[in-house]
Amino acid sequence: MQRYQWEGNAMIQLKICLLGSFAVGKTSLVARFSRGIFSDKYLATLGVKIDRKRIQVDGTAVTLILWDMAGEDEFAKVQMSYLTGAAGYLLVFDGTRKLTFDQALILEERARTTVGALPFVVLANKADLEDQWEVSAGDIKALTARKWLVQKTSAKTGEDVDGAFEKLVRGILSRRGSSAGTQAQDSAES
Amino acid sequence: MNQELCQVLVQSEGILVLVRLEGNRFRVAGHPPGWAAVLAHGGLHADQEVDAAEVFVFLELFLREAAIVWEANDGSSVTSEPWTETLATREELAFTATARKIGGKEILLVRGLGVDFDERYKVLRKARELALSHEKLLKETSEKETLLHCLVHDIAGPLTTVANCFQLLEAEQGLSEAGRGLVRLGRSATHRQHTMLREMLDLFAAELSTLDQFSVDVATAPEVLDCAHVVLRSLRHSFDMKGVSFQLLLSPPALSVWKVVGQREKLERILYNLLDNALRHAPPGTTVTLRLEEEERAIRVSVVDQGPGVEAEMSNRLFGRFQQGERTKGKVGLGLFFCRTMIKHWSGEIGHEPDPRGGTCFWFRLSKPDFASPREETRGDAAVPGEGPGDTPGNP
Repeated sequence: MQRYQWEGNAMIQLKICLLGSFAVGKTSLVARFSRGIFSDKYLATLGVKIDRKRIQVDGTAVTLILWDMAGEDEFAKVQMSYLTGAAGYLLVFDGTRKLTFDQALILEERARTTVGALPFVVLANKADLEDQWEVSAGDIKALTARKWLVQKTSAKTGEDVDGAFEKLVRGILSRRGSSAGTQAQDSAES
Repeated sequence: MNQELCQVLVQSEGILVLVRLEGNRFRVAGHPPGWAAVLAHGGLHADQEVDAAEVFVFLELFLREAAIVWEANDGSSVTSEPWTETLATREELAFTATARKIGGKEILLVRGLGVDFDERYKVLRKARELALSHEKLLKETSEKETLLHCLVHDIAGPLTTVANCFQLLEAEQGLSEAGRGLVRLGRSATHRQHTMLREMLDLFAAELSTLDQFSVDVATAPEVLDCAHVVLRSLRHSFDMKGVSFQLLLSPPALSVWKVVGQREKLERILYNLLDNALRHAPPGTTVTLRLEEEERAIRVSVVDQGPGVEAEMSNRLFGRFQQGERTKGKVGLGLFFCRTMIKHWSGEIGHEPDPRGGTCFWFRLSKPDFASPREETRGDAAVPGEGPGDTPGNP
């Protein structure tokens, strides 16, 4: 059960995780979203990196606790237990590497098995390199056919990064009913 | 004395000692290490009571594992995976937490990681960079094999036969003027195919970084105007055949030196590709314009046609490999990719935009040799300025 906390003036706090293979741009997406910066340098994540960002979505103030989880490869395995308590997650793949798309599908299944069905948005990252994409329009269509929300993003240019996070938050809030109603309800729960 | 010594030791080792009170409530034991003063949540001080899961949200999950160790009370301990927090100073610091029971007290040690973590991090990053390079290399090898296959089977063989036939035909006596025109057209087509063949080979070479040699020296740098004349001469017949005229505009007209960074042969190829591309899209009776403009530090070259414009769905992918529009199929789709590869190789810019009078303007910009900066290592995944829709930096 997602835990809501209150900070002073009716602030909702949501734990959001980022899942995906290594080097798909999870850390860069968080850096772009939370600090508006980007670096071409590859930034590996060991364990998990935690960041915070306050945003307004449809008039509702929300504090996001961003869990940027280490990408999975032969050197490290994604700790699915970190998803415990998450309100939702972003499933990231790199459009230029088809392998990361396939791994995203596997990660989604593991996440669902571990913590049940959580709201999530798929981020097709590196949209600035679309001419080098291995992931086809058909691949993405297959995801949307499953009713998954898919958003093309570029941490490099900032394209739709904020929008993707907001889309997830909107999905989380709407799942719990209208924002105002949800606040009242969750206040009573906490 | 021993207690004081212990306190100094843990503090100097960057360890925060928390003694559990109840649930997630802890008391800070002794003086906290330096990093504890700049935590994003707020600084900690000696004897302060805190909710550990609020100070470090990561601990909310770990405290469940810790509780098992504390309850077991068998001298065992459990240590968390590393996690990283952004401090109030905007610096990032990695931590691990260890839970154990000492003297009946439930202790949580939070350690700010230093050199050891940095070493681990560097090793992981290096390993992943190597894995990425390996992945990229495999991909490139596969693509090159595909290209090579096309090259050998679809182009090289028939091309030689066709070229020889045209050569024999041209030597024939008694050909009518119309017949000679057709032979010239055929030879021109074989020449274009031959050019395409060389492009493919050059692409292999460029991507293998064997084309690093290009001139940034004023004395040997290519003259873009000379190159333009050569290419326009070679395309003259093709323009005539299609009933498309061309014009060359210079700005300023009196400029005598049009040198740019690059390589003459490749620069001619780029101009050829852009003009050939414009010609293919230009309707009969229209004009293709080649414009050379001097800028403070660079020369901007643009090729403008009066064709139907770039299909919206192609706009982002135009400079990609094997890209061709629905309206004009028939080419392999490497011409513009070649242009991008070479211009990028020379640290220039390339892009396209709709022309206000209809049609499309393809442009590139190369530094003048005396303003060329030392070449930076170009990355395969670097963005090409001006490639995206509406992204045409430096355009007037």
